[in-house]
Amino acid sequence: MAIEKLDYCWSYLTENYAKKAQTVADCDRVNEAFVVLKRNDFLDYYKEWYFEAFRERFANTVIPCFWQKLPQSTLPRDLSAIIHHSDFSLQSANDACSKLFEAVAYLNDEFNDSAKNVFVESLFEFLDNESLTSFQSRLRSLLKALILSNIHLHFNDYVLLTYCCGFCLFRHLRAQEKHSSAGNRMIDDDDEADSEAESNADAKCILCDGWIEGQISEEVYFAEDGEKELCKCQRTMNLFIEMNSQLKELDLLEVVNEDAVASVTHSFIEKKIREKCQGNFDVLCIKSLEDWVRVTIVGWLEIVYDKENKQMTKNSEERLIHFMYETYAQIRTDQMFDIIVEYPESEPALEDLKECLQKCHGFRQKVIKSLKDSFEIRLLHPGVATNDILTAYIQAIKSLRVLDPSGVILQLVCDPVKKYLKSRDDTVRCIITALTDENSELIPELVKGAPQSVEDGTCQSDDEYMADNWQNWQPDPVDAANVAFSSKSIRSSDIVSILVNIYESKDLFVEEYQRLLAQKFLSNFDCNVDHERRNLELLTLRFGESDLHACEVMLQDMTSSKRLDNRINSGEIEAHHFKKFPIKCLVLSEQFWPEKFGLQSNDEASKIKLPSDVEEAIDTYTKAFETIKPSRTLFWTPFLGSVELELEFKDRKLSFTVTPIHACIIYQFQEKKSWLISELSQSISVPTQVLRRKISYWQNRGILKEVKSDKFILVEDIGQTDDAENQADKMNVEEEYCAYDEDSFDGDIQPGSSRDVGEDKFRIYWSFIENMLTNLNSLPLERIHTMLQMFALQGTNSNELSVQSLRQFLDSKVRDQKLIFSGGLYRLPS
Amino acid sequence: MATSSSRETNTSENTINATSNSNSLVNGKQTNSGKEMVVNAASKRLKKELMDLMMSNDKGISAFPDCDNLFSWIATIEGPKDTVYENLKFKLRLEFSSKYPYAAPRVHFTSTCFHPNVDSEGNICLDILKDKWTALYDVRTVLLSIQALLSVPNLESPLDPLAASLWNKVDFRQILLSKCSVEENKNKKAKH
Repeated sequence: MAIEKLDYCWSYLTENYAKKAQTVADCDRVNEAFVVLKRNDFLDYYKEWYFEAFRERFANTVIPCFWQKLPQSTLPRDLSAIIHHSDFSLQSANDACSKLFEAVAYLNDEFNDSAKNVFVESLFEFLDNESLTSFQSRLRSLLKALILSNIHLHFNDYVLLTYCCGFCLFRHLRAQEKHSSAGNRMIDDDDEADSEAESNADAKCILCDGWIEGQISEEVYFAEDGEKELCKCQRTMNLFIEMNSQLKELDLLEVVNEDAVASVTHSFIEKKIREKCQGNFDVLCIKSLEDWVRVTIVGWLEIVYDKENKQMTKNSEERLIHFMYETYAQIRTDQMFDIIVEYPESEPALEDLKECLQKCHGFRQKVIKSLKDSFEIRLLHPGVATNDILTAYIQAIKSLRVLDPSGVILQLVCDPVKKYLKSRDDTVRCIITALTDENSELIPELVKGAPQSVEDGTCQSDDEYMADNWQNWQPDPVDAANVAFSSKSIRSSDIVSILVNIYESKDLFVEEYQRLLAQKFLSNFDCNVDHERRNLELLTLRFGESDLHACEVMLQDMTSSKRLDNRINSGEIEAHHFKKFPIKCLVLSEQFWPEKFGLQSNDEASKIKLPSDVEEAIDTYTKAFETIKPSRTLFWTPFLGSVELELEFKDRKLSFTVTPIHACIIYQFQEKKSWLISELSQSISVPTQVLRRKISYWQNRGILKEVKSDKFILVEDIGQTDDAENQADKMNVEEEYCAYDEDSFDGDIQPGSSRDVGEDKFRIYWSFIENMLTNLNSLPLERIHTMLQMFALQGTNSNELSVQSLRQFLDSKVRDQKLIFSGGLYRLPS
Repeated sequence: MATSSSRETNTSENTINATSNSNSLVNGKQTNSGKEMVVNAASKRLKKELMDLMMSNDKGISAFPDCDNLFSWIATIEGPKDTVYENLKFKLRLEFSSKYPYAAPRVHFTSTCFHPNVDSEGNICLDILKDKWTALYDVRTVLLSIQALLSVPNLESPLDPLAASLWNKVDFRQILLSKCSVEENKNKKAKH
């Protein structure tokens, strides 16, 4: 009897447990059944059976059903594009989201049905060896295991999409809320573009494209037919919150959303940073970004995880802030070159980056590498003008100072730039020009510079430096050890010193400066001496008086000769009367001026014979000078200077300012209207090939004309007919040809000056080669070349000797029988 | 045509006394000691000597680093005129240590030289290469001294007694020539 009863009760309990609707009568029956089971000690069996039944039901029915609710086809195809697109639209994700909401709700319902029904509750009223909650948590674990063991790949996509939606909704609603509470569009810029679009006239929600309740005017609402869809944002948000709490209920929350939350927060932080700092360096934004992360991202996390779970959000807050810093540093690092170029506008960006570097590990190296690479690609190649490289270098110095006051990054980054600049010929000239140019931005740098800061290689040791600055001491950054010869005083020296130190010696600069000064003075008689004096004084502070002494004398020459000239020309001296034209003269102390007065190729006409009138004037001038300064005299360099000419023709009058040699040429045509070049050369003692180049000046201006080769005539008036010339020419044909033969011989030779320089160079090489071959017998061309480069070319940095020109030179020596070439080897004749 | 007006601005120099352009910059204290610096100093000095030697154009002496080793030079000395060595050429090798110029270079003849102060191995007995060396000597002065030694040997401390005993004798030149020609033949054979 008892067994029958038990059997009946068991059957009742096992068959009806899944029934949904239970009445009070049912409850009573269930209770009765459990009483019977308890009496027979069958409760434990029932518990185990229930557990097994639960497993079976979920594994076979509920979970497959759950997956069925999430078909892959509902997912938008280009998922990652949608997520990463800057204006995420809810429409594309709406279907997927609601599917997930539905599925989770279904799962939750099913679980509640099975784990919280009358059967289970009554069972545990009778059982005392296990509590209801622990049984339920066992069931939850089982559910979790069942779901995870059977997880579908696209489930993660569903989750990701939904959380993405969730975040957008949150941001959107918050902005909306703020917007309506602010009443109008006075919203701080932190609150997204959404909020601005929000207030458009349509009153349509940009996220879900539905009408916003309350904001929509009645005309619009009733104007069109059909149902108007209202904004679903708030509703979707509520569903989202509900889903999270359901997942939490099921103990699935963290398992399911961990990845999605991380990638959503990260991708939105990155998006936000990119929005903020794309090509925009002039606003400090790290603080506002940090606030944004703390308010918006963390606020969302609180919603996802519930407010109770403070520890969770706190941890992730710190992680997210750090991630934000790193992302910011990464983005800025990639933009480093542009930041440098735009300095000082980009200073806020540098300040931000500086803060990031302090917080993030390893970014110093990245910054250095990124900069080095972009310098390599964008700066250090032949296509960039030296001036531009220098400008970039200066910018880099200035901006890296902001980023890293210790100067270590600067030194590491700029080493290649420095080396490259050193290899360019015109660097010195560019620097000097930049330093002395009136409008240069370097002038203030020069003014504020510390005296005597340019030293020859040696510099203050760290100890000495510290002795003066101990209060400001900062430990070196860790990478300081990578810098060769790192010394604080070098790293902290000012821009001008850094530029000058490219060559590690000031001699080159002083020489170049002297040459430049000479050129300036000699090419422009009225040049502004005061300005130059100021520059010189500033430079003296840096380079020291002894090195710039010569330049000082040059300046002195300029001022004193102006005074002297005024005095002589005032007619105070009796011996000096000008008959035909006035002379102005610069008196230079040759020893203190650079070689050849810093002018190139001016010796070609050094022996020029001036017209006798001019010679006379010069003589009287010299005499006047001698009376003013007894025991001194003048040696003239007639080929320098300038001549103001006025040419009067039959039909026109022209004035020119030209060099003496040009003036001499045209002066000769005053006496005789047609000259052979050889005659002209004799008459003014200028080599023919130089003469020819100079004559072309007058030819270009239509004043002289080459009627036959080497025969030049004056074009007296423009209308002159060619016939007359031709007739005149034919008479002199014979004479011309003789002259032509002579001239063409040396006409082919290169311009005199460069040839001289080359010869001078080769004379040194030759003595090296002679010595080399005397002692080492015979050598091939390449060997001679490398030996010369090793021993003879030191110091003359840029004057590279090419193998080609060496071969030519050696071959010319072979022709002169000074060398013997046999079997690929050169040797001296014994 | 007429040149109506002209202004010449010409440059010339007069005679301002050169104020002493004293370079009173004292090189900072050399903190970096160690071998590298020494080698640098020596090679710097040798480079400078090479350049000076190339520029000096002394007759009868020449020297050049052997291949690319700056610390080992080959030198050639021509025999002085009016001596038994006239019209002969002698090769020497100069080896410098990293202590140069504070230590004398090692100098020896590589070609045969019959001389009272040179032994059969080519070693030279010359005071300035031994105890009388100072840093003021350089390659050029060393070579000139050796050239001078050829014409005026120090007969009091001979390395080669035979040569010393034959000095100023008629046979000397013959022996010298025979030795040199033997060597020349050797060289020629080696070449062929």
